[in-house]
Amino acid sequence: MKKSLLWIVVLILSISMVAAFSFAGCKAKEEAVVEEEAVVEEEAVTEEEAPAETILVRFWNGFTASDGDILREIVARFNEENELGIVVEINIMPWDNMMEKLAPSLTTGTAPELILLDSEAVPEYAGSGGLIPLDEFWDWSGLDKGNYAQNILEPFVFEDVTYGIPMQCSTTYLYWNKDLFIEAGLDPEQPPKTFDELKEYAAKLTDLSKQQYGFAVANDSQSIAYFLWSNGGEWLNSDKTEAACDSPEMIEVLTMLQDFGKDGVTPIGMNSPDCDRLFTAGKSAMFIQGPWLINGLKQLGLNFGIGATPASNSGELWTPSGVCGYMVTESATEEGKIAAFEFIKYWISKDILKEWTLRNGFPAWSDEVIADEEVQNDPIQSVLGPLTQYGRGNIFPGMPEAGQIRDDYLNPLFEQLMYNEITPEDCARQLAEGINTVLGN
Amino acid sequence: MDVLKRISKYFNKQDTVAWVFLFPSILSLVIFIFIPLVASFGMSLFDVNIFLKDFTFIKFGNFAELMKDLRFWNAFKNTAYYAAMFVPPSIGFALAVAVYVQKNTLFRKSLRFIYFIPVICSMTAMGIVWAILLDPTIGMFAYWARILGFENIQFLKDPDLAMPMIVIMSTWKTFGVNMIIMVAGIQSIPKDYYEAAMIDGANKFKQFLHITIPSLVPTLGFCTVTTIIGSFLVFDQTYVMTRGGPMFRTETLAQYIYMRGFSYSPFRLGYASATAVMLFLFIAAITVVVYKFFIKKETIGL
Repeated sequence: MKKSLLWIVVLILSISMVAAFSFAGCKAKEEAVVEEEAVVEEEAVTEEEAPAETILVRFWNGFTASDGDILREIVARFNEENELGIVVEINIMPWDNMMEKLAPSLTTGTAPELILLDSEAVPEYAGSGGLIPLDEFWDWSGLDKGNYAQNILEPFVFEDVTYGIPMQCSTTYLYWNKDLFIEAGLDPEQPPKTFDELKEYAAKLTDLSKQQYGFAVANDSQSIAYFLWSNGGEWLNSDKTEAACDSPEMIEVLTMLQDFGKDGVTPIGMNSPDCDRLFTAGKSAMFIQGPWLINGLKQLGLNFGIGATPASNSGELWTPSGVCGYMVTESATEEGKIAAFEFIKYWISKDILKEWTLRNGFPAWSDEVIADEEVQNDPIQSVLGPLTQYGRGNIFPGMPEAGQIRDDYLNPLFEQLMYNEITPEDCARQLAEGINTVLGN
Repeated sequence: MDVLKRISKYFNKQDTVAWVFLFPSILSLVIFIFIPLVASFGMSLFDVNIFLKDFTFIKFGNFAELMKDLRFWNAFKNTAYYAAMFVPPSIGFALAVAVYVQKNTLFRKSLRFIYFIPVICSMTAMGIVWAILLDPTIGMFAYWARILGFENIQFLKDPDLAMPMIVIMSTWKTFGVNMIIMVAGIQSIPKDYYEAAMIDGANKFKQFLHITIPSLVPTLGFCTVTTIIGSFLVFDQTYVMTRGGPMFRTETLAQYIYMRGFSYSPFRLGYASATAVMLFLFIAAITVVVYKFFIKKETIGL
């Protein structure tokens, strides 16, 4: 008995060791490949009499959708074209994973030099340290700050210090599947314009026997924010000290969303990428999302439309919008910081911003690009560009508590609502209580 | 020469040699187990976030808060629920399979090999595969369920079904370890016991009940204790397959620790450490109870 047990232990140990070594082997190989690539590039550069050393800029972001492919392409082009020996090593992972890796890596000084983050995260990270102030970027680059939209630059300023340079801005739009509209006898060029129409269309487009949903709703605070604002409601009072969301407007909106779930118009328990997949698979007729699916859907050849989200029945429309920006971490050396600046400067040049707008559908935010003829005549931009005016920014702008409110209260309570565990009235009340708890009331 | 002799004499002492050989393991134990253990005990008394900038000593403040934290108790309940559902089948199923595959024929040996394959696969990878299989729209299980006439089973998105699905997946993934240990245990039971029983007219079932099980008590004890400990630490599968949802119904203690400390702002490392200390105490208490139970069984016999 003892002897065979011993053998088993030996066996298990050796298996795990083999596994560990093979992992290590893989990693070593990968590294070797990366190094080789770097060496090749280095050689190419030396021929043109440029610096002998490469400067590595590690770059994390969460562009997992089809826009990430274009981002990768642009980074590769930068690596090839720059004459300073800068190599930007891009690493794309889901946003959640990135945020989880980021905090410990900032503490241990192993964070990448360059990251992309939503401006919403600025107060939190600026407060706890870890990000380098970027005020000097504008002087260093010699670029004209006035060329860029001020309301896009501002969200990155916290207590008068700039922590990020915008990469893109976006708001949310209604995507609809034209083929499913035709099947349901609706005009594919006439998406719903009001909440009532949305309800009506969604019901018509739902066919559970085919697992086809009319309007997919993600368990995401963004979904409520759009409906709430458009319905004339608010999250907070005007001086942001107290919750104001236990209101009739909120209850109306929550009732509507809960009914979508009850009626089978949307599957329940969906997150945002789930909704993307459902729409891409042709299983949902409508949903609301940022512009990052445009490129992928075009490539797939799906017959889809994109336009304004429906306004409330009184005609009001506000959508949450986000600005994503480049930030440099304290883990960067002086050399690494300047190298990261070079890439940011490359990004906010007219050509790159224009390319990003035309290929991905993200609205333009620099005067040069907005005025560009090609951008103005682009079929998607001519529709989406004007919608930027309905973007209202983040739900809790400039508040370090934003993440906590969302993770601890908004998303869990909204989930309970969709699973029909609480009434809209209770949900609205508990949301307000939760926000007040976090705000210390 | 004298020096060399003295060195060789020193290293020829049994104690010294033992320490030299143990050194690598002790080093990794100290660095990766003991230091973090002590550190997290210490940190649980502070209010500190992951950036480790401002340490505020708050004595047992974190623990007092934990006692009132509904999500902590929910996670505790989920973990206990998981353990209660996971441990009996992983032991019982492993035992049943072990009894069958313990004979050394080629076929049964290959079965042993096949059942062990999931064990050496990565839990994360298997979690992703199962999450796809269980997807209500594109998953294969949903497709089969529809063929059998069950419309619209949501599997991982159904609050009542999510945890059982994770238990099934985990059992499938891990029962091979217990099975192999039990096969070894069964094979080392002296054959004469069975011969004697056969002569006395005991049938297979009675042999199993009165010979196999009692002789296996030490093995079963070992398997049960390690499986219980493992089940209280469950993290990978819930994190990958459901991220604790729907409605925190699959959020386990280990995952709650991770969420509080590393995933949710304001990254409360002190609070997460306090939760970890509580988990440590639970596991220690349960292990002692179960261990004592088996020691008793071993000494007095079944």
